[in-house]
Amino acid sequence: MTLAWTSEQVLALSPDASSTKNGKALAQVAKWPLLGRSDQAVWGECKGSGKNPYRTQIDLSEPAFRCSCPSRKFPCKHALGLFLLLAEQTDVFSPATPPDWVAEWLAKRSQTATRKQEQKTKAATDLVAQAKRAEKRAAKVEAGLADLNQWLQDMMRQGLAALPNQPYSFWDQAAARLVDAQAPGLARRVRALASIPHTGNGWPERMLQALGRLHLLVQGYSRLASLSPQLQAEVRSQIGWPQTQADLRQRVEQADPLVECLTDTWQVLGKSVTEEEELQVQRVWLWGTKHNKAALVLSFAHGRQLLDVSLVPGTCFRGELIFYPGTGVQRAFVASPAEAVSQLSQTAPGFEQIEWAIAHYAAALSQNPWLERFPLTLRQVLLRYHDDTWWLQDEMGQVLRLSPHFSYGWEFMAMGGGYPLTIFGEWDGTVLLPLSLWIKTQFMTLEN
Amino acid sequence: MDQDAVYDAGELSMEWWQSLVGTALMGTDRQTPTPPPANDALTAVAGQLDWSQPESALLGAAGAIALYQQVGQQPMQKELPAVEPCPLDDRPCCSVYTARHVDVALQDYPEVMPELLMLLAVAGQRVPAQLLPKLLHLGQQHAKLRPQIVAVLGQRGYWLAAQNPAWSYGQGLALNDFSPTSPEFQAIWQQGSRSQRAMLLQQWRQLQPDAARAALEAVWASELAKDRETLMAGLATHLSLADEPFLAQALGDRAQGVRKLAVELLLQLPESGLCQRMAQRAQSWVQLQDQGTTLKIEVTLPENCEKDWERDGINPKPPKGEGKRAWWLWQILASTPLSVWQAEPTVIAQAMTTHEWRDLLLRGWGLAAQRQHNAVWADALLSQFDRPQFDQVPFAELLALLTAERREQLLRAKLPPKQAQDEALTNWLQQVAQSLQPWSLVFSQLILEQLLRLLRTSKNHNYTLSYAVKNMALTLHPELAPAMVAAIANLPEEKYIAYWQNTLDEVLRQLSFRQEMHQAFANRD
Repeated sequence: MTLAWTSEQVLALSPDASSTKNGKALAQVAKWPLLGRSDQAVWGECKGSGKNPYRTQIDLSEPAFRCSCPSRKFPCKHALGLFLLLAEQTDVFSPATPPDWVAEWLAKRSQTATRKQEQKTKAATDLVAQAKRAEKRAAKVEAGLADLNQWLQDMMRQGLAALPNQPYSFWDQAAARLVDAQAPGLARRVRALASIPHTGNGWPERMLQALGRLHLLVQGYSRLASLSPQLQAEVRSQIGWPQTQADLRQRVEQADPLVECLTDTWQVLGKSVTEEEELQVQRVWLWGTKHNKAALVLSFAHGRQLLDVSLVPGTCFRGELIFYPGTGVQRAFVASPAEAVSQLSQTAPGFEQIEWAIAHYAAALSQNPWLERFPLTLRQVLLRYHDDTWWLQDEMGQVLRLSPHFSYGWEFMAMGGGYPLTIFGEWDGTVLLPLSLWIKTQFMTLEN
Repeated sequence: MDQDAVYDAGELSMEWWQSLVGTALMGTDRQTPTPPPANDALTAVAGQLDWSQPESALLGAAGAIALYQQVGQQPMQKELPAVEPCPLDDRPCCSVYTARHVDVALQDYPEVMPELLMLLAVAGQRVPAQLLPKLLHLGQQHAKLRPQIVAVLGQRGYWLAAQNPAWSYGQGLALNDFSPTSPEFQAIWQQGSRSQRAMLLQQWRQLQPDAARAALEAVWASELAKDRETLMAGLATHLSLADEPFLAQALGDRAQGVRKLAVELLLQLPESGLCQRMAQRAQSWVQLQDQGTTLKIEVTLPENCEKDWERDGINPKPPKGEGKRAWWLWQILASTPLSVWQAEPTVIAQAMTTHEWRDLLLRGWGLAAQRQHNAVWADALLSQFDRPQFDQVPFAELLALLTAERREQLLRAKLPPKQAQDEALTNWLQQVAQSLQPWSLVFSQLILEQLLRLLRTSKNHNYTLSYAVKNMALTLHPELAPAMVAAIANLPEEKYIAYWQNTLDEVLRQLSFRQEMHQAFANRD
């Protein structure tokens, strides 16, 4: 099933600014002596710096890319250029039977897909080994948390005033111990504390609040048995207890009430990528239209690995999502390949009054006190620039501050023209980071 | 935490929270935290903690209060100045291909922007909304591009420019509703930024030159030096003798920049007092004598640099190594109206070739021709002399004065014959490369031929030339791109060619891009 891609969606796949720039430059017909397409794929030959032209191909069903150029980036600039050409000048591609080098690749891909699926199910079935590992892990985590507890209490005894003078290693070492104790979620939170003493006015209050929240998490884990099963799962996942997709699939098969498996038409509302040390974290936000349920698809890429690009903001698809056990806005993964992918034709349901949006956020917080980012769609709000800050204002005159990391304010302003906009973004309790925009019914997402 | 947000908690509870923060700062070793007051639900929860363990209790209370504040947060109410939305009616937007070209040009080929902006303006199109910020930013950094940018902003662009003080230049005033008495006009004239007022004055000059000058005179005394200089530059539009009294006075201005500009402007008015004075001076040192079949140019060098020469713009101090008397004379020549010289420029140019003071004359008359936009003189000088002799003379600017046809004709005539040395061909190519005007397709093909000819015979790499050739990417005809692709593919596989490969690839890249740019507009029709 072919889907019409827009340039913005294509450019959203680019791994970095240099690829975006070069990809755009390659979106010229003159650069491609050979172009062709079938229902499933698109291919071309591009003149490169070597003797033979580079062969680039795209499997539209996922999308997946392949190019014979030596670049390690993914998608490479040739793939981006080819894709952009498809988005902007579809008629230059004449339908044809795929040449050998395309047909072979497509065949290999369907083989690999089935093989991977088999491997996953195999790993999940070794139950005894799994139980042993879980025991060992629990012991390590408990020890690590006792350590953290002591560290926090020491900090209370000595006082916060000494903190601005502490070097980064003070926080980093505590975080490293937590990583060793198999609690990476806590390690991340500890590391995030390091910058608070340097944030200016009001930092002691902010520090105490952050420490308090951390303390709640630690205490929550020590009282795990007294919490509801969902909250138990949430605490575990906040600490950083791993859950594999194979694990969860199995639990679905065993009809575990904590693990939901929902089929729905899912709207892909927006995507954001952050870097934490060597790790890239990608958040894709989905909305299930029938169940009225939000889902977060998290993916990671370490070092030079590449992020998964199969979910594209501005599309919606029919498919099955399996939810990680937890509370509030839950993490999920796509259980079976998406069917019937199409462009988003209507705006997602959202709030026209900021007061309701905040109330909704508060409700989610009450279910998950450690919620960090909340997906919000604000409808028919005005974008304003005042005092070097961007704001969204609703018709009641209430405002939300936009994140200082948001760098497309003027672009949004230009596209909106002063008229009300519908914006989707991540709210963290203080600022909103816009990820996507609707003008009338046209959806636009930000490129890298 | 957001200090503006409103918390729905009792005053006493918040006071207690502040005392906790204080204790935390000092540390529980030094200070015991005060137990919670019992006034509301929040403090009741805090009361359930074990305060005999002050550290855990403090952390627990902090956690509860932090969560409470987060959940109880009310949205902020803020008075923001209202903004009138943009009118929706607008000139047509450019095609998606052109939009892509604008985007790429803004990032990679900013030198191509003037050409692209011109194509857009001619087609009566505007750029799409999401490209406006980058385009307005470009105009902010490059003042020369502003008039062209303003022409393709459309209503959306004017509206956006009005939202950001850094883009104030973009608040276009449509020339239709242009009335100097209107309040908007006066507001900009009196309180606008320097660049806004300068653009305004320029537009005003096009409609009512005298009124515009009178307005400038009225505020002259109270303007800063930089403002005086910037605004006066607007008088270049529709410059006439009526402006002379004002400019003559500006010759005595406090600021050097203003004085220099006044001289430049007056030099463009041959009937002005300044030019007449210069004419008199020049004729006392340089005379043309018709000797039947030939022309003789009599040159004597002035003894002293008079005081009133300085006021008229002559720089008395020569640079190191140059004789001061020749330095003065060529400046005088450069400021004299060319109508003074009663002979055909071609004949004069001929007579200059063997003259003892050839370089002085060329420099003086060359600059005069440029200042006075005299195409006949430019033609004569360019035909007679070549680049090496044009050391200090504005070669490219004089070329620009000729028509495109005449330019190509002239350069074609200078083409070195087939058996000429590499040096001659290199010189020719460098002359061509200096021109900033676009070449016809036929002439572009000729340039390419000559370049290939040089590459095949010359075994050396000339860095100056390859640098000059890079600039030709903007003047060669875009339709040359296919021919260039073929040419590069057929280059001999010699080592020295490798040095050229980079340059040629770069030129081809820009050329292909320009070709696509032009084609995007042609296809629309």
